[in-house]
Amino acid sequence: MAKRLKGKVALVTGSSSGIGAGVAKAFAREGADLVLNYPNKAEEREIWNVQKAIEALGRKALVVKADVSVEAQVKRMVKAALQEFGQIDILVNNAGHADRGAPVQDMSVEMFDRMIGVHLRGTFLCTKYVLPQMFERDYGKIINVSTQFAFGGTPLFTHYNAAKAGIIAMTHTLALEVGERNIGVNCVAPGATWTPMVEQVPPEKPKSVLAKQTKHRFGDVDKDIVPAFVFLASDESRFFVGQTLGPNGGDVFS
Amino acid sequence: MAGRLKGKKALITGASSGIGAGVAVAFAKEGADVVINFPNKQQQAGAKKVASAVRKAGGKAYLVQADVSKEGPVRRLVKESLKRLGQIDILVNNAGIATGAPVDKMPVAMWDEMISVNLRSVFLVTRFVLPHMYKQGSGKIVNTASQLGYLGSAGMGHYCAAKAGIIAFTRSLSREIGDRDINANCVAPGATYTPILDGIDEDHLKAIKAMIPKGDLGRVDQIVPAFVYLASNEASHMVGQTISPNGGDIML
Repeated sequence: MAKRLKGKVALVTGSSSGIGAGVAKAFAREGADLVLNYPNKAEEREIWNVQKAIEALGRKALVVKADVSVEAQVKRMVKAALQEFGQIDILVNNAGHADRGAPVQDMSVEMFDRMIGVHLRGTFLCTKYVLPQMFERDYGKIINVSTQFAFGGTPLFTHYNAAKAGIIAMTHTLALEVGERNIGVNCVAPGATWTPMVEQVPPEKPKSVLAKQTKHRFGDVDKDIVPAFVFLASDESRFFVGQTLGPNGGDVFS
Repeated sequence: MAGRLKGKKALITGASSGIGAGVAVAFAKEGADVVINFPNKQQQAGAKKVASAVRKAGGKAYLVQADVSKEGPVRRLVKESLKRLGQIDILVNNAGIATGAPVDKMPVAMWDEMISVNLRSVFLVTRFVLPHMYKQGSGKIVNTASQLGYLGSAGMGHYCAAKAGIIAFTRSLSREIGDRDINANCVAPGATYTPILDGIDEDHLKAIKAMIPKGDLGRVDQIVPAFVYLASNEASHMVGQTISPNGGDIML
């Protein structure tokens, strides 16, 4: 059976751990070469592990350090990717972080800005600089990462949920701008997923989420979440336009 | 690479043409054996064609005629399917019709027929397949809804109500299934080139196209991958969801 992403080049932001790392490895298994991105030195060892795993699958992996909320760094990353591979077929705007959250009246403005900067501005910036060559080649898949909490909200995370809801609205709008071109723009909104990010939020949070979820378990990155990305990255999704898939174990039905 | 549905047994209702036929062949390509359900004698030739396409793709194909809007035939369909396939891992509730009339002029019989064929059938087939899936401890149910379940459509109040009902049914069913290893989800295609559009006039078709960001209706081969995804173990965390290959008509 043919590999589903054979000959494709994918840029996955925030691919040193969690969902991004899982997506990068799954794409490689399906035949894609990867541009891996990580934000800072602290993630270096992890990104090298992902790179090694991809190379062990016989695929190429270029590693680029860049803070996706900073324009100059995004420009440099996209340039390096195009220099190496000549094309970017798939862009996964996955980079993101979690913090402990705070009620609005106590949330520091820096906390809010940082969240919007990485998640929402980062998605805008990477898209802005990757899109022109997709237009030129009339081919591309852009997959943005939202969350189920963009729909239902959850206390302490106004900044996170607003950023993630913004990503869905951006997905809709970009899909309309892309129009009839052969470029797919869609979104994945996972539910609570077992990743290093979970350790950053208050421990009672995930428990309360899983209690009202149908499957009563965290999503497993590789088994439960990543296949939605492979589907949207492949040509199987070519009539999906501006849609959001929700592998969330039956929490929010969308 | 192994087929994504290798060794799986699927019952597909309304599989003699259109999306159902495409799903049957796509499932076979991924390694599944299928029961092709069709409603009546007129559809028999179509169903046979689908069966030979399934066999060509390497799957086993069994034909079972049954009007899925009726309890007796559905009981027989499920029994027959279990006999042929040995088990049912995947149920695709796809059978459907399209008619139309504004509400003030819609014959009550037209309403009743639509709700029976498009909505009652989903309940009935699920009703009699589910105990088997519960016993087996695994299964995938994929229901065919429609974007019109969200958008509504003048002259198709009955169709839209049935399709919205399927979405709500799927969500409720998912809550009942709970944490069992059984997933129920929906595909809500946009307007697709299938025989269900036969008889629609050129102007209406043009108006539909103008509303779709992709600029065209979907083709069956653009719709069926969504069914393969939801029928496979890749969708293990998709629960009560509706995914929408619709060319961007409505973004959800």
